[in-house]
Amino acid sequence: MLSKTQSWAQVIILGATGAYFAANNLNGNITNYIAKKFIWLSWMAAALLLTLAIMRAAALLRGQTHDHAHEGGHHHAHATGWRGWIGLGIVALPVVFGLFVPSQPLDSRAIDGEISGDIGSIGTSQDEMIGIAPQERNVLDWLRAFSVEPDLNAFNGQEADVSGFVYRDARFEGDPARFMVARFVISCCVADAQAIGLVVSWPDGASLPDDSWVRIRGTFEAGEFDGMAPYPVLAAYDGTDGVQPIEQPDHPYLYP
Amino acid sequence: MSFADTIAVFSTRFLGIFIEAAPFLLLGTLTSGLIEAFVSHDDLVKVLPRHPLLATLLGGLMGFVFPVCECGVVPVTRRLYRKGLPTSAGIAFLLATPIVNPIVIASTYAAFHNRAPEIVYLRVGVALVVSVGIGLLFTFQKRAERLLRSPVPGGLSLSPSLAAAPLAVNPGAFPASGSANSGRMKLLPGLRHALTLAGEEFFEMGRYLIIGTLLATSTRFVITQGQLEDLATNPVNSVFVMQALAFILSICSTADAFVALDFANTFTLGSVLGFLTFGPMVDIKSTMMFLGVFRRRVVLYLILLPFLATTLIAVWVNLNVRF
Repeated sequence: MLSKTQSWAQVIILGATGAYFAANNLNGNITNYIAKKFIWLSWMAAALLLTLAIMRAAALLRGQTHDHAHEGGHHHAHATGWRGWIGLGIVALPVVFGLFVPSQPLDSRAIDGEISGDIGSIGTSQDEMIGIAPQERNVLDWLRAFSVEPDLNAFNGQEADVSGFVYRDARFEGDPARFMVARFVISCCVADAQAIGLVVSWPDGASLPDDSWVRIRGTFEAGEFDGMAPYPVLAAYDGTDGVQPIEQPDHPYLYP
Repeated sequence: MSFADTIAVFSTRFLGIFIEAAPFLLLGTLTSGLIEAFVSHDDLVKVLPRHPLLATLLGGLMGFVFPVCECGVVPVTRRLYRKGLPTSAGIAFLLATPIVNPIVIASTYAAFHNRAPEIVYLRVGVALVVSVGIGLLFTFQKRAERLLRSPVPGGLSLSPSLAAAPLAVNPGAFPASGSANSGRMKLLPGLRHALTLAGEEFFEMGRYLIIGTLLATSTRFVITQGQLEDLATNPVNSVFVMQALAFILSICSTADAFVALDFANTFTLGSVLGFLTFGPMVDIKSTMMFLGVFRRRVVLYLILLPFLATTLIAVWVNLNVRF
């Protein structure tokens, strides 16, 4: 059974976790963690956690802690003493991480070489591409377009306008003008995040720091990448017409 | 990567899984509390068929009544045991429900829309066969409390006690049989009692969910997906790889179909099926939650039996099914 202090610690943890969920939803950080379509679940969790905290506090104030009446003889599932504190500490971990580690979306540091610029690795069907004008396509839409078009030279000269963060790995060494404009794709939460990217070439490419967010405008031309040829490389227009630094968007991930 | 970078990525991945899973765990504990307050032992006995096979089959289909995923199903199963659910039906319910429920069927259908009916039938069919089969093995152990590790908040059905229910209304309303608090409560006190229990269970189960999430997040730093994908096309290895991936990633079953879709082009059909059936039954975080509720030997069965059964079926599919 829990001591009175531990019972109040439960109230605080429930309340703080509920407040953390609500705060994430209000300040928009929630989209660093889960897909847009599940945000309502996070609201529901906030409401439930706060309700549970209030119920528990009310019971404690009334003096009806559940540990008053165990004459029925069953011993309680909670551990006592220091073990009880460890259990409480574990449940407090999400709030601790949430408070002390600044909230950030996944970026280059989370990729570790696992980025997909492979044509055909994105599951799609022809009809998913219909209705997205080339100018409106994001990184994911373009990779899907590549995967359903048998002749990759068909993209030569097509204009694109995409945004993402700058990513480089060993495959770009020795070619400072080239980098990837990358995004993470998530269906549910960051547990299923997949990094994808388009290869960009821009004369000033070397000036762009990794993980900085950029908007790229340019046209595709036939090139090669990682042994694949022809491979559509996005040649950005010269100067700021081609590459503009931008703020990290409100929704850093793309949803399939 | 520097230590600060590792912490930053770790924190995002850890909180991502927790924020996605916590609402489902809360729904599960709330459902468990509501069952405790409003479903009586007699209600359950009336509904369940006497024949063990039929009862187990019904257990496998109860996800249509309680559509919870693998985080929510653990507290609900334990609660139903307390209400007198036969062991076999409970095991079938525990293993089948994260797959055989309307939400997961709908998300699987949405993810695989161009190959939908076949994948959905296969997923649901295999899950039912495996879970009911394993459930039937548990008919040899009639007493549910022998499977469980420690008493349930609110007491097991055999320990009549109003202890955890200080708000319980009129003791006279309970059957005199001795199973005092397995009766039905009135609306308001019942709701209050359900919420109190949900709060307790959130702490009890939350611990295991969070430890599981920490383990799953850490494993991602050690084993990368690229290392596994090299084994994608072999009919046997691909199954093990996808099962390992499902176990490690610990993605909620309501959304795992979207992830499986991503592998469907590179991996064999059987291995994708293995991912979609083994993963929701057993993954790192549900293993931790099983350990909190069931005895260790039972947890071992709950991991090994679904693993063996889904492996055999998935390999068979790889060798025999084409569409």
